[in-house]
Amino acid sequence: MTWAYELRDARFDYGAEPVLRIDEIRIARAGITALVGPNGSGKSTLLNHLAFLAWPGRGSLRFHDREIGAADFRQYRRRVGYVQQKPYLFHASVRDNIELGLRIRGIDQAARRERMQKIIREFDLDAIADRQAHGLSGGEAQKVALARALVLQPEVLILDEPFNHLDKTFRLSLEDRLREIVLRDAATVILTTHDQFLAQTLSNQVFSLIDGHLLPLAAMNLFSGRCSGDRFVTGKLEIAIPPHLPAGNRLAIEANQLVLSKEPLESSMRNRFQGRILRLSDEDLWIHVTIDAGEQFHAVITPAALKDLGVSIGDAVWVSFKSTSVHLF
Amino acid sequence: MDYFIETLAAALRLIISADREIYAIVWTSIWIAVASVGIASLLGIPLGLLVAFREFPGKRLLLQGLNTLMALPTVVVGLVLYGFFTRHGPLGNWGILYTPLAIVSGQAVLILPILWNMSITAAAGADPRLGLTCQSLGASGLQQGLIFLSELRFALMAAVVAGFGRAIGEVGIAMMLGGNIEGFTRTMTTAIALETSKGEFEFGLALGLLLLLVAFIVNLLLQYFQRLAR
Repeated sequence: MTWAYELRDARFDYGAEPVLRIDEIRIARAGITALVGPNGSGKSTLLNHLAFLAWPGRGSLRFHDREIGAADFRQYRRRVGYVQQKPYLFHASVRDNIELGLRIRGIDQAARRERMQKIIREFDLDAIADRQAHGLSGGEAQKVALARALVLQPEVLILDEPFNHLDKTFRLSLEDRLREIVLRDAATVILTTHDQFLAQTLSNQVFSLIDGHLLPLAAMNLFSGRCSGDRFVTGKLEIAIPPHLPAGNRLAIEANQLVLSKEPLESSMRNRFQGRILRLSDEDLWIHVTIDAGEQFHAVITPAALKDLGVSIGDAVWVSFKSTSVHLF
Repeated sequence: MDYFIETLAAALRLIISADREIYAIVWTSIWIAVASVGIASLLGIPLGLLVAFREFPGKRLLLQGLNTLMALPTVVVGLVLYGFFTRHGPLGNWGILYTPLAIVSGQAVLILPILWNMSITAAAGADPRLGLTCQSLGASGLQQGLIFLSELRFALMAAVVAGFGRAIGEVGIAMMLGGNIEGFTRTMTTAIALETSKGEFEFGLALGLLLLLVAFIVNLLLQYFQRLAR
């Protein structure tokens, strides 16, 4: 696998406050990478760095196998298309907003016109192309900002919460489009989302950002507690952990590491908890299962697996996972 | 009271009759103020953007200094520049004392802190996402500056109009550096002072009314641009 970005030992501080600590992160080239985490977890800080807009207090950054320094940032920005969570649109028409990046890059008028027409048609923006951008709804503004980034045909597309304000139809078409630019143009897409499920289904790589710590997984199951020998005690559950793990007060387990069964499994998995199904939600190709076993667990299974399991809301179910599948931090 | 009403009527007659002398004075005042604002804007707006977006030692002191200079007394500017432009002064051999250029220079110095300070305020009040968006689109420093000028155009126009209002209404600089020479450096404010001292109250009042009209238009424009900037 080749890497678009490789970050090592990056530290971001606002004043004396540490915002983000990254020991190592590698982001795959020509793939979709999702960063999942709540507000204030450092997602936007990391995106600003990956978009070559902010340099950390310390650390190293490699982009497409080249070491990048702060002095290189300006020239590398043009290789990235970046859509902020709440995009800023200029006091101009929709058309002018989309065209500005092309003008900045000195692209000639004929090429500009061709690219503009194509993106306006693809994003179904014909009806509002000559309207002032400041009168647009949240969803329309998001579309314009996405069109403004994509018209530049960037090598890397960075999207901060891109699915906010979008209706389901456009959201699905955007998901298809992101997959398409990865496959067709070998572009790298990095996006942030609150939606762990979406991150897992859309992306090739998922990272979770929690309180400025980066985890190489979608931390759908996140618990607070303390380590006690080879156990992690949450107050409601005791979870078996490998003895060599460095101690921490947070524990995370990936949703796809959980095994659901109607009876306790005879296996080497040291963690087995009985609970009841609280929620079953159908998310396109996957079923999202929430189980109350003292603590709430979130598992992802296929519709066929749910059918085989033969359970519904309120039924008793066993949740099992290996002690080696937990992450402590 | 009758005297005042008769004088007011005479002043209005002078305005309506398009008295050549009055309108020559009005024109002199306007073009001198426009030239001053032009020069002060060319300096003040880029400096404002620069100061707003850069951190440097002494910035707070500079901002306090600019705030103080917003209320710079016109006679002090006139006095200092008179010292420069007078025959024995460092710029005496330029021979610009008692010319429109001297007034333009003085008024530009007077309103530079206004333009500079209001530009800083406009830039500092800009949406914080604007700079990040410009950078993420790959804009160079100059391109970013031009985009900021465009995005802040209404707030900056309000600064320009405020500067024009200050320039056209001042009397100290026009009198001390222009010398109130008829048909050359006589502005509305210096003419009002002269005509009143000569007892030509109706002529002075006519000019005063026109100055009020200009101030009213300037104020309307100022409010218009401030409303657009919000």
